Amino acid sequence: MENEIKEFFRQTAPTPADPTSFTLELNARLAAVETIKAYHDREIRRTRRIFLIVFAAGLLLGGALAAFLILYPVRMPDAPTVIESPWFWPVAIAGTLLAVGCPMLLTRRISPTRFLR
Amino acid sequence: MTREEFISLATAEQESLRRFLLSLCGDPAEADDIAQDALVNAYVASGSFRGAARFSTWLFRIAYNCFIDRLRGRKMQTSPLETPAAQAVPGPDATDGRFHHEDLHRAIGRLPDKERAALLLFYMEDKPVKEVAAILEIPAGSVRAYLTRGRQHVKEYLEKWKTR
Repeated sequence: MENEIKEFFRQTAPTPADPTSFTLELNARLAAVETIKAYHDREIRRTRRIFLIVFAAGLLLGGALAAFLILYPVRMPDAPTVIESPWFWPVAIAGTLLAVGCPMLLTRRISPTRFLR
Repeated sequence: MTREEFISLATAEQESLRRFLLSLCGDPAEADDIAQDALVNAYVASGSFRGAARFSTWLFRIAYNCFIDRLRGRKMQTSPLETPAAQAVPGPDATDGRFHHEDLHRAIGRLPDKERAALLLFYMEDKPVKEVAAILEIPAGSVRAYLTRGRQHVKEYLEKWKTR
């Protein structure tokens, strides 16, 4: 009985349209996926590189700021408990620019999905 | 998995996948679109395919999920398959010679989605119960229940039409 039903289903199974155009479209879609994948991988590598550079620069600047604060202490007249270095402001400004620039650089990534639109 | 490897595996499954989707949703254009989506999704996820399941099972599962997503997202209406071939093939138990392929697909088209998918995979695509269960992500016992119920439903529908 089961085999009869199977045979009947097999006999009445619909035939899909021409496979050539289907395969061509599939190839085109897979090629597009590969382009997006390659772009995405490139973006991930770029982001990772930027992150490493920013991290290293942050460490260097942080170290430099700490070193100058220790090496060139200056007592501020208005705030007697705070010790400041003449290098404090240049290093602090550079650090702030880096802190603002880092997220900007990281978020500048263009979404790969824009290719799908 | 390289693109060439994927294409060679997908080509082997292409016809049966398209036939399954065509029987499932009834519209050839929609079925092909779902098949394309499924194959692209499978290609994107091919890095995670470890060969624990058969490639065809994995692919059919993705395709079935695409079908369900489309059904939920677009409120797609499944319709009975109507092709010129539908009028041509008589069933083996046709006593009056007027029982048509179209009737069977109309009857199948009226079944609930899971029941219909289970019937098509088991009878049309000749997949074992275990594989059908893996594709539909349900226990094998449920597949057997769907098959029994599906057979009963198809029988009822066909009898109703025959008496008209």
